[in-house]
Amino acid sequence: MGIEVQQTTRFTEHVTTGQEEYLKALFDAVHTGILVIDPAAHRIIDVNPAAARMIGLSRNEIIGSVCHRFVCPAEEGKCPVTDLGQAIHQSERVLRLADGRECAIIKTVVPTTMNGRKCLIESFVDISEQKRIQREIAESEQRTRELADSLPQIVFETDVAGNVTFGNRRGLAILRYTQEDLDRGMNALDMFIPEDRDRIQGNIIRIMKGEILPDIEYTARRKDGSTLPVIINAAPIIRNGRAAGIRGIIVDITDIKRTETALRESGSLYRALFEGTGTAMAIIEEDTTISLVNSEFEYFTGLTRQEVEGRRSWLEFTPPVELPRLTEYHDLRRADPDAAPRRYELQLRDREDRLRDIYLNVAMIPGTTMSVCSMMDITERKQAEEGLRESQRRLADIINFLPDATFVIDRDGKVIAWNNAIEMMTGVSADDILGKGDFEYSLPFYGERRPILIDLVLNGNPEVEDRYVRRERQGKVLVGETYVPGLRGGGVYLAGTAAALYDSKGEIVGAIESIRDITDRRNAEEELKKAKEEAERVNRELESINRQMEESIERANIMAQAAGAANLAKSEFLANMSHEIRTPMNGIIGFTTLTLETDLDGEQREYAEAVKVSAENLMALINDILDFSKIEAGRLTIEPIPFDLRTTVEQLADLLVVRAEEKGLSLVVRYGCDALRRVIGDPGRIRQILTNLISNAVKFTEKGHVIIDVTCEAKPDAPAMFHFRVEDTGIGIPESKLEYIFEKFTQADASTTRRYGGTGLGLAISKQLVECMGGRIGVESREGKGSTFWFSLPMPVDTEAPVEIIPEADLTGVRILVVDDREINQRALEEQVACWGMRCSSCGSSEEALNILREAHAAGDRFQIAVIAYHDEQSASEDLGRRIKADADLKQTILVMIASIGKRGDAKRMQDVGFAAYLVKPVHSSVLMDALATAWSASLKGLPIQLITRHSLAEARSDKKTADLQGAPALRASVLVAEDNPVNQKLAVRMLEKFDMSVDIAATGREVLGKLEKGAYDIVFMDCQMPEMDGYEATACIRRAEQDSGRHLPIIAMTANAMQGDREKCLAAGMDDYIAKPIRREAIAEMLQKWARKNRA
Amino acid sequence: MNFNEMAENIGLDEQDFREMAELFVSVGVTDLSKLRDACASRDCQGVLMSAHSLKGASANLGFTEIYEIAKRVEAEARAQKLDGAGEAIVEIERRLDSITAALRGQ
Repeated sequence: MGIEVQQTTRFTEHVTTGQEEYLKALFDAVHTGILVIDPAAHRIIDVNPAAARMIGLSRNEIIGSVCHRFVCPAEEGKCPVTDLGQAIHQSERVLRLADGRECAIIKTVVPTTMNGRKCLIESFVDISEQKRIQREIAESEQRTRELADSLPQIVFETDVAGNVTFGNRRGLAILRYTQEDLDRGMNALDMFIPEDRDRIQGNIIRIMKGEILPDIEYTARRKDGSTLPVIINAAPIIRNGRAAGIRGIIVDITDIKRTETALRESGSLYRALFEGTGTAMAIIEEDTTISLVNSEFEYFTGLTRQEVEGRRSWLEFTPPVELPRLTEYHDLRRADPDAAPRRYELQLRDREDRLRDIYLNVAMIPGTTMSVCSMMDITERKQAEEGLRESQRRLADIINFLPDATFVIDRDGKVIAWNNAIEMMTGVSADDILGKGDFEYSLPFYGERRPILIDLVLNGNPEVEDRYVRRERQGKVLVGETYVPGLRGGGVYLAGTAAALYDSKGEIVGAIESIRDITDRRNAEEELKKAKEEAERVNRELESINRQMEESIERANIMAQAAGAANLAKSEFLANMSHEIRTPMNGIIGFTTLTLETDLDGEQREYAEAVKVSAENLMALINDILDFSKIEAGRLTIEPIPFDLRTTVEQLADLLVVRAEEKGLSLVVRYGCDALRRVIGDPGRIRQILTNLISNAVKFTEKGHVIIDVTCEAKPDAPAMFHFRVEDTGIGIPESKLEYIFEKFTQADASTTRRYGGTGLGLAISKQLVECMGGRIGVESREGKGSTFWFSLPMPVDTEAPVEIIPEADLTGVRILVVDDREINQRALEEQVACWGMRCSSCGSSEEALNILREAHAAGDRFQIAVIAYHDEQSASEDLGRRIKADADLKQTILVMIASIGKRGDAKRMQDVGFAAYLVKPVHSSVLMDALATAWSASLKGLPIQLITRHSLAEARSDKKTADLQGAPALRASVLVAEDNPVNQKLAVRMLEKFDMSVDIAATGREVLGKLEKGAYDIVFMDCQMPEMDGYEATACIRRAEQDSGRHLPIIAMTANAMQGDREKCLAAGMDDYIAKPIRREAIAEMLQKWARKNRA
Repeated sequence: MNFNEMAENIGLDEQDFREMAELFVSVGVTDLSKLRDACASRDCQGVLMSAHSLKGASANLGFTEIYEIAKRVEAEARAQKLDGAGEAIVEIERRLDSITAALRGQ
């Protein structure tokens, strides 16, 4: 069209050359509309037919009109050509038609002159059709894009180089790219993992060549590097008959893949199950066709699965007699899967046409009308059972012939034969008893179900064996005699013979017993025996009376002559000698100990240890002898003073707990008379008795516990009676030895002496001491179960005793949980806290504990405190603590740990876990109460506190006591410190001065003795190793001197050798107590509290 | 050397502890010269006694390093061995000096 216009323009130039006619024809003939316009008047001065056709008016109607009526009506007054003087080439304009429609045109305007007048030739063509097509293409493209965007797959186009020219929004999102990435330029290969790129490149070429490829799987890669399985469906883009790129859809098949895998796995799982069960199985369709069988089924029927599957009905394998029942089941089951029995027995013919017993198991396959059945061949089992029944019947026939009462049981204890003779003997018929188990056969004899002789051949049972008067094994046969009190209305003696029955493999299948009544024979024997015994007894009595008379006379004579004097002299001598012996003994023990600290070879060490043990045993014996001699010499003195009984018992337990813990025993103190603890009595003697009883208990107990229990009963007109019990779970004492146990040099038997050591004087001394104090002592024991030694003492209550310190917080009503894996410890703790009015629960495991705590929390009555005290597994305590503190509901609970053994660093760790208190056993009432009260009071006040330990409590107490002491100058005690090193002297002085003590120093044992002669002291702290005379020797001298004065100066040993046995060594040397170096303030405070005040009191 | 902390450990105030430490050094120097003499004359019993004295005092005050050395010397002397004693003497002397320095330093 543009070309036509240009031609027109060119031809117009010819007008001037005079080819008018030719031009006129051209003007009329062209399809291009032409208007000639007078630019000055804006009027049309000529129009060609093509333009007139377009406008829809005749030429005459057009000529003379203002040009804007038809051309560019919107530009009237601002026409770029006429008004603004511009030329126009091929611009898009609008032509208004006669009917008012507007038509898009392309117009060229050329100014020229015609007949000397300026005019414009406007030529134009109609482009409205072209515009419409363009619009439609644009709309179509828009639609395509929107469609592509709405697709859930990745839709793309690339050029021949693989550059992505289009990607739908969803596709970009799936691959995590943005439109901006696309605009910057992307290659299709970038969207796949490198391993796939060669394959893709090859396939792109194949697609562009026009090959149609099946869906191929690739692994696409997202912008962030993650991958997804996809398939691509692509086709070439054809432009001008040539491939210009490819277009396609990429589908994310992640879900499909997952489903495929799952399906494949479950399919093969079921296939494997189906094939691998080892039983014949088949899947049955609704119309009874067998749709699937396994190899066992093939084996059973002798048919291959090709011959069975989909071809046969199970009906043809079923014997006619079973058919009605099974078809009924088949139909019922399809109406309701549970309507027919799932398991039943039936008979089927196998590959060899044998009738087999089959145990069938059928179930519907859910969601289908198919069922699956499995068949177990139980023919052999049934035959075996039948055979067994048959042989049992034969056995029964045989034993029925036996004249003795006889019966047989199988391995399960069921009666399988019961003969006529035993029917007669017991009155129980075979029909009533056959097939019954659970010791049914003992009922007619004993009236109760229990094992009898026949059971002994199956399992040995000592309890049963004891019942038989005479019992022996003769080869495999067991023979026993017993008395049966209630058979046939009277007692009879029975002799039984029993043996096991074996099967062909030698395994026991049952047992047989035959029984004979031997009452008559036994009665005769008994009579004979009784007569003989009676004769012997009379004889013995006569002899005994004779002997007693002789002895009495003799004893009377001796007593008359020697009684008091000799015995007294002997005891006196011994009492004195003991001290003389003890001093060198201390030397032997001391130097042996030193020797043991040196480098010794194995043999030397063994000998040295033997020397030490022997020496210590000898020493203990000597001490006991001394005591005993004193008793016999009548020099035993009881010094009643006011003292705190509870503290005495608890401190004693503290001393002895080390041994107990070493053996893994619980040593528990239960003081059941809290109201009465200040009493008047001899604490030293009570300690001596208790030490003896507790040491024995610990010594003779290998596992379990030792409980020290103190109770009392107040009496209106007499001193209160205090009961002490020391209960153990040890080896016990045979009944026959019980009555001698308190006699001197007696132990349960000689072998215990060898095994456990000891002098055999301890209990005798204890008995004497108890009796001297007006009390009684005794023992209860069961061999193998344990012993309980007890003694009771009357002691007046000290009414002037100071009032106990009341705890800071009232524990009444506070809810507490005790977690302890040992029940005995649980009970002891429960009793203690119950005394303080606390509400207590207890349990033995962490799971229980957490449940109890949570339930209580849920019920709105939570536990305020939990005491965790695993004995055997300390780490469990820590673990439970952590779990409670980690639980948002429970972490408020105040936690108190009681550890069996304290280890360095534990306290710090427990504090970190969140424990409020960490106490090491033994934990006495007073310590526990202080700990609970301190923790509870801090929690009430909302104060943070340091971890509570025995030491922190002791410090708190000693602060109080220091204050007490300072407040009461009359109590200022004087102390002698025996110590050679000036540093240690000074340190001891400093520490003691802090307690407001008056302190003197001695540097050697001799100096100690000198000081003691000049002045009186309340307490001595004695270094064991000093020049000239050591602490042991000095102590021995002091104690010797006290023999006459009757006084007792508390002597506390200070020794650097913090070894086991040191304490015992010091105590053996006559010292009262012991502190280990380095000297610590708390230890001194404890000693002062324990000894200095008491001495004053 | 934190005397305040060491004092607290054994329940004294710092002034008291410093006094004790001074005493310890002067007694320690005497013990040490006895130890040296005994060592020179191969007198095991003498070594044992002086080491024991050093051991007890250092333990009480919490001078643990000296305590450990003295304890070792004592045990060895008990076994009639004096091999390590010379080195131990030098070591103890050094530590006593550092206590003195610390006492004067503040």
